Amino acid sequence: MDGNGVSGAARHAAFAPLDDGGRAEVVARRLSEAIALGLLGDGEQLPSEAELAAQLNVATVTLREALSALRSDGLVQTRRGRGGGSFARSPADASLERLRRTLRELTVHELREIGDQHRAIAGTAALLAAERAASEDLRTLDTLVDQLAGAGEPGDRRRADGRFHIELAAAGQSSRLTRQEIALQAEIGELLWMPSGEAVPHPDAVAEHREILAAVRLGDGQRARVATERHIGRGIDQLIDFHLRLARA
Amino acid sequence: MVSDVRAEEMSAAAREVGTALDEVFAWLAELAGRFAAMHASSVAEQNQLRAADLSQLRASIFPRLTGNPRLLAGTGVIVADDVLADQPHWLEWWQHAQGGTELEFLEVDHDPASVGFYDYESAAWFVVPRDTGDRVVVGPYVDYSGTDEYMLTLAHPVSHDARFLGVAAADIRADAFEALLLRAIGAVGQPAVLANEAGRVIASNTPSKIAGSLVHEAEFAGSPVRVVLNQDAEVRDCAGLPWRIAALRG
Repeated sequence: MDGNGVSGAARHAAFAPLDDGGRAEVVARRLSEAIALGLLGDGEQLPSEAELAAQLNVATVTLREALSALRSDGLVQTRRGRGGGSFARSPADASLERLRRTLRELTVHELREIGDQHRAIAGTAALLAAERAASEDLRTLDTLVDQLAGAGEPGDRRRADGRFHIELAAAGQSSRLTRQEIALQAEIGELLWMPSGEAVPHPDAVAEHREILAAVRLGDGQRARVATERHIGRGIDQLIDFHLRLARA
Repeated sequence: MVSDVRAEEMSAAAREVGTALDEVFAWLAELAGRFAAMHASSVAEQNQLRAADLSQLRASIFPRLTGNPRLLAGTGVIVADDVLADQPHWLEWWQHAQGGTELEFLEVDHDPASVGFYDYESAAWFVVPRDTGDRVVVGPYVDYSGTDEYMLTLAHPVSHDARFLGVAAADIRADAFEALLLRAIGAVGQPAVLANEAGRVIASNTPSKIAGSLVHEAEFAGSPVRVVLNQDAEVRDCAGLPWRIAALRG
């Protein structure tokens, strides 16, 4: 969809009322996801602050804080004067349109199937890693969590995230699980780290990797498995939510 | 006494493991020698080696691979930075094609800017020989950037006039290596394992402690027996050892 031709339904999906606390962070994430998903086209004017705050069901001051964060991320531009207002800026990333299309064309069923398989593979890999990882494997995993923490670009985050899960399967000493983890990362890695539309917010992803690794280090396979399943499930749930928002548009 | 018999069988198994490693290292010493000799004559002729020149090594690589189809998954040389005139980053590596009898050249991504870059300069089998001059045994490990198999990698440094040129290396399928040793370890007569330096089990005669799992000193019954490499052939040390054979507590 082009910048000016966003449907009323897309607008509705982008500005659906928030029921999760109305924090500025949540508002900013919702709007940046809408931009990533193309629900808000490049150059499209946002409603007035009062109108938008009312639609999202948040205080105007909260909305202003969110818009300010989006401005500093380059996702919103504000122009003064006649014809002024706030405008969405789509991240300049050639892969974004392709990712939106993939996300729109996948079905909820397919996403659920990918999630089921990924939880089975990554969860068992974590369980085995807790039993079999040697100190050298733990050092590699530590490095990969730090790499994710320090990564700023979506591509670097995706690579560090993917490598962590692949290395976890390798630390479980299973070639088969490792191969399947590699295939799954190739299938959904990019979708999980869409520019300005991350399925699991970066700081949470880092914290969850640390939690998994702590359980692996303790040799607590069940905890490692449960933490991994939760982590993977959360990402897939978010992708399903993205898909539904696109499907409604 | 029963324990004496066990010690004897364990020593015999350790000798067999050592022989298996010695055979691979003897090949790697030969391959390293050929590569070093090629480099030496290129220096003498003032004509720096090119990637295509390494194809001369195939005459010895091919028969070695086809002669050991079960055990030897792949072998070749991995070249240090800027040794070749035309390729800063290169390997001449051949392996058995998946599920076939053909040999295939390992094509990897040599572009450091690419996502799939094959970064051998961070692999232990390259770094250890480069930094220490020692040979090394790595694994078993899941080789997800190369063959996708459970592997042991053995590597031998190649150098000429104190310049590090790269490594001659071989990938050994961990499952085939274990199968080769099952009889010897089985002969120990009670649950026993062959484990690497980190305590990773390489081969075992018991389902309670299988290859890939970790074993701790506290689980050993009596003293383990170290695997010793043939001292006459090569004075170079080998990192990643000692491997040990140990009987397990019931």
